[in-house]
Amino acid sequence: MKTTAVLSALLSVLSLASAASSDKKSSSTSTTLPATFRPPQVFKNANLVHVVSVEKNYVKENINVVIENIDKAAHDEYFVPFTADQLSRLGGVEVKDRKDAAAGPFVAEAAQFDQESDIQYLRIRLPQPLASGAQQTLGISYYLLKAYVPLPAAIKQEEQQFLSYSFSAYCPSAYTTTKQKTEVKFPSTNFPDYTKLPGSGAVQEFPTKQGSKLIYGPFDEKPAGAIQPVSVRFEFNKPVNHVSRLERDIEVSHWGGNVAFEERYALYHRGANLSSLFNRVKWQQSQYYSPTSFALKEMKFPLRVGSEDPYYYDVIGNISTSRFRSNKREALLEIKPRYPIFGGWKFPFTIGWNSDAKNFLRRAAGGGFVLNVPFLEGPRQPEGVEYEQVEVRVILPEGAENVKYQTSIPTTSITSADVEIHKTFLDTIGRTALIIKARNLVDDLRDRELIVSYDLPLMARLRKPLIVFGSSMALLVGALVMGKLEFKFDSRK
Amino acid sequence: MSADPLQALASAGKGENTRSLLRFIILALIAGAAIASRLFSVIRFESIIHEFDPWFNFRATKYLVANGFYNFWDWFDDRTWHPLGRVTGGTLYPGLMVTSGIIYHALRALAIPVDIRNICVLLAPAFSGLTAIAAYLLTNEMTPNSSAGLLAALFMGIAPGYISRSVAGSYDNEAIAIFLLVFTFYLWIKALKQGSMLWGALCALFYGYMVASWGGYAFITCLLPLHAFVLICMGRYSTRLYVSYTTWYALGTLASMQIPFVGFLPVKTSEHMPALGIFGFLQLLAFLDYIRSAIPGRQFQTFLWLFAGGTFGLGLLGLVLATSAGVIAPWGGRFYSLWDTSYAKIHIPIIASVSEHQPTAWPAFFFDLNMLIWLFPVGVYLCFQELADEHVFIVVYALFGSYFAGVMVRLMLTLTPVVCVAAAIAVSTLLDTYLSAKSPSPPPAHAADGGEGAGKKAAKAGLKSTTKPVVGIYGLWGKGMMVGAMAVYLLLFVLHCTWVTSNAYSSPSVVLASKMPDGSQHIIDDYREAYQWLRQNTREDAKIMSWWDYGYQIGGMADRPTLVDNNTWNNTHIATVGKAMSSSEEVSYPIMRQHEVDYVLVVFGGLLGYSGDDINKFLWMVRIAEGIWPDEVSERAFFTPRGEYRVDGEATDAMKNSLMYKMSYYNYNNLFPPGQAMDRMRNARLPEVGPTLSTIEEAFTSENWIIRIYKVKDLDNLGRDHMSAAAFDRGSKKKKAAKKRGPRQLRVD
Amino acid sequence: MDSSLHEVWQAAAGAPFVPTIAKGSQFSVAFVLLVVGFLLSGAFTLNRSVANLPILAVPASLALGHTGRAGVVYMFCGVGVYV
Repeated sequence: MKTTAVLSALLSVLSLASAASSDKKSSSTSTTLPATFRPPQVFKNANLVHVVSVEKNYVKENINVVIENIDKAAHDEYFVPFTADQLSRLGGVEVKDRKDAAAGPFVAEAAQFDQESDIQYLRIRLPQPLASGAQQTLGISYYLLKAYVPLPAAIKQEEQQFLSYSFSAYCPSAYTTTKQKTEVKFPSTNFPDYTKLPGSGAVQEFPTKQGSKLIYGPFDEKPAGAIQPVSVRFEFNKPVNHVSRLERDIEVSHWGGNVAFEERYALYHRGANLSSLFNRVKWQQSQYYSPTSFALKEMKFPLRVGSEDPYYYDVIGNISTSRFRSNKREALLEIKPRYPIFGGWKFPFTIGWNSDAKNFLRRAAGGGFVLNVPFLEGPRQPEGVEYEQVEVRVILPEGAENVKYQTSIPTTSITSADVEIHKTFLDTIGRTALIIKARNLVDDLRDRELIVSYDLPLMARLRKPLIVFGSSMALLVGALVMGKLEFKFDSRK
Repeated sequence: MSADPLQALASAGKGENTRSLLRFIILALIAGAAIASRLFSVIRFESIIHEFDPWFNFRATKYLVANGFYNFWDWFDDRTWHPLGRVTGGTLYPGLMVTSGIIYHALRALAIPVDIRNICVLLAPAFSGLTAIAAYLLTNEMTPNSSAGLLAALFMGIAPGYISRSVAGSYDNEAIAIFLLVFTFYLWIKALKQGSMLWGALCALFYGYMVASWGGYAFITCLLPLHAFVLICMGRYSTRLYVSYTTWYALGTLASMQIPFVGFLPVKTSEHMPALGIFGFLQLLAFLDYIRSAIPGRQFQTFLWLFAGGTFGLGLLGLVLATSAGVIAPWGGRFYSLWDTSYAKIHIPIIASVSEHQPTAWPAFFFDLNMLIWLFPVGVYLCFQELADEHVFIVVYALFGSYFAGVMVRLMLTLTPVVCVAAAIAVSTLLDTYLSAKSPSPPPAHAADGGEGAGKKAAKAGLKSTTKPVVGIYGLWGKGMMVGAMAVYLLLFVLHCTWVTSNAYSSPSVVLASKMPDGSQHIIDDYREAYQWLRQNTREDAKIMSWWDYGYQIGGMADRPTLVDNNTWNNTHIATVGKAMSSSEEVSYPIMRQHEVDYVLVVFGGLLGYSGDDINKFLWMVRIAEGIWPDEVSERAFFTPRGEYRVDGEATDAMKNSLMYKMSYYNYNNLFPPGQAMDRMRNARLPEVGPTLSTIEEAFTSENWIIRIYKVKDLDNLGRDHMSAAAFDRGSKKKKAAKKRGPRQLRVD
Repeated sequence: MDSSLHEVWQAAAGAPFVPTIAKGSQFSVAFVLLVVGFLLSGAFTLNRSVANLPILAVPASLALGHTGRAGVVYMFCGVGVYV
């Protein structure tokens, strides 16, 4: 009897706790909606142009849409549907007013209502409610990661790699779309296979081909939620770089006048696997005859001017195949992996460099300090790089307080930001570390800035020397006391 | 470290104070020089663990740091010796790992979180600094002259014989063991001189540490009893000897038995019996000593002889009986090889296959010790001149050490400390004699403080010296010449040491360096390229078969299970791998399947002219396999009828069909124009048609072809055997190439 | 999430952070300070008395790591570990 009571009490506590935690979680990232939610049909897409760009190893999609309020009242919430799977791979969502650039990015957030449902919504909040019958032009851009499937999945190392991408020819929308077309941009003119649809109007058959572009549409009116799956297959004889996790440390040293960067990449090639295993002879020969290959051979990191002492290593030590070119105009770090990376192969590595504090750190007017660093600095590759999880740690001096930050990375991509304590050399209480976790970023978002401001009281600044002073003083006084004591066995007699 | 100088500082008077400070500073600088001279490899390459064994120690240290001491103690490693596994915690000397672990945690506590790899890399240099100080202390016990001590510290610090095992990155047991060896000897001398139980206990403590660190502890276990025995034979039995020896033996043996790997060996094996015997003998002597004080002289004489003879006979009988009954293990194979240098070659090829177990070549002594080797006998001779108890130790150690250093290259290491001490005594005596500016006037005073070098004749002549007062060299010219010559020798010694260290002992051997045409350094990093590939792109539990040399590296860098590694505890398992490598594919494939091998790794130096490759080691694999399967593997079959070991077209069938040969040269000829494939290592032109493989396939080859990795094929889908399947594939390819001439015919089976 | 931080950054354009001792000279400053510190400590150990405490020990400790002229701290910076 007693045990059950205790158990139930425990259970209730547990459920409370879990409820609290889940509540906290959802509220921090998205708004909860009732499970039966359907977006109210208050808007109409008067004209919609969907641009799907598969030029890089992630998909960039642009939806330019003229929306019209068909309801009587004014509304400020516009919903864009995604599948749950897409939402987990979605990043870098930015919504702008195409006509009015000054309006700035609109707030867009994932609106969760039912974890089980396949359709989830992204809610865009217009800065001003759109009046009844009025029109506004939205430019919605976002990236989809892990979007392609290599077809065939395994090829020989000297063959060309082809990728395929599936999407809907009708842009998924929660509202009725009067007129729309979908454009697909390819990296080259070689895209042998694509789904063909019966044409409408003057066009016999969709899609039409224009150079390295395919155009599905224009289509006539489609109801909300209309979908027409199509897939395209195209040549992509470049590596499909996927960084499943990037840890980026930015360490600020006031004593040294230095800002140290270190980045740890878990790199993975998502492209086609090798059908027969790696053959060094063929590889060496192909390096002379046809140097383009879908294997990743080199990465270039354009660092900020003034970067110095770069290093590059992996779990078993230094990697000697890197070059660093540094002068007044550029600081380019070129690294080669230990082995060419083919589809399905992994290569985790670490790079790092230093820079003078004056390039990134300034004294703010109020007596604090303000730091401005790029949020993301990965390699600049013609084929692009996608980052699934990014953790940026800004390690501030010991005792820093009142930490505030601001970043121009789209807010939907940031999953959490905390201030923690990081202990390292000569630390007693540990350094203040701002940890920002983000997901689904791409190298287009390179050089988006991260501004951090903090205060550093005088005592905190002097802590390290004081500690050393104190301990050496203690040592000397200890020596003094020890010298006065006798440690001999007393030999009486 | 600074206990002794500090105490000296505290107790000594004011004038002495500055001298002590000076000594302290010099000692600190010597320690600094010892550390600095070992950093070539870090500066030239990087902070990296070297060679083979250190990779295991490093891996074990990481395990210790990650999982704590008790887990480390109970560590069963299922990622080596697949499928047997290894009781690693119970079969290693934990001293090294525990030392680094303690340093790691201590630095962490001081808010200096140094990476464990850097601690491991720099442990050997740091301890070599301590060794220099220990050598200083030991030498100071031999002579009142502290300049000898400083010289000994300097020699110890830079002698190549010791540097060879203690450069940064060579994270091996010897790295700390030599310090412990020298320091234990110092404590032993200290204990013996004072007859002090405290020093004896300290000696036992460091002996215990030594046992925990290196298998070479047996050297101490045998040397101290020998020293005691010699002293007794010289009629120098004393209570001091009794106290120090019994304290050391009792406590030291108990301490050594705490190490699981040692366990009951100290009372069970023949190697440890001398120590036990002397322990018993000392008890008898003490007893007799007591009796003598109680019984009058004549009777005692007869009693003594009878008693001594009886006990000795009984003891010997007991030993023989216990050995034959199996209570005490007979001498091990490695021990026999110390007496008969060709023993290992015949009976234990696996020991003989290690280059550091070969007998030392004469030049090695000059290479490793340079001028110390000719100063060494002088120092020993000077010890004979005084012949106090501690000098007997140096003499005994010198004899013992020289013998062992002659037998095995690796034991040069144990000789080095005594060479340094003896040479330092010689040099300092020489310098003291010739540097003293005091000229003729007071001969007795001179003979007293000038030491032996010049006053040697005077001392020998004894009474005559009073009649012939002026013996020796007093001319400034003569002195200057001598001192100058000595200084030049010392400088040359430093040059030699630096040269040897930088050229011979500072290569990590994991990374190779070569020069580009423009003189810049080019790093050949094939090992790590391949290991990293294995680590990242194979299954976590993919078993790798390779020759045992690479076992530790694969475990440490590629983090994959291996069949055999450098801990050569199971000869049969190694022979199995040897058999798989030296047999034809039909024989090897079942062996590899049985051992669940996924990948086979071979080292091939043919493209680069790299001499340490598997084809050069191949004969050892054959020999070791032949030791277990004499009917199936025969060394003779790998030599041509004219007795040559060849890899070109003339190679024997056994050679050409062996898995090792095929894996080394597979696809290699495609790199060259037809018919021009060359093995640059062996300067052999290879046959035009390369070997074909049917049961394994090439999975990865590193940039310079040093490492080649093959994947063992799974069983054929259609149930064919691999030979016919591969032949079928090849056949179909050829047909395609020939563009299918003529109509296709129905095949009739 | 303070949107005014960008303005703070712009406003501080004239005040880049410059350390007390420039990067290039950290090692030499640290070396001198450490040598002084160790020498004074050595002198103090030779002649230990309470009277010498303020004369030798305090400056020694100061040189080893005090008030902006921090030997140990700068030595860490000098060898590349920017604390």
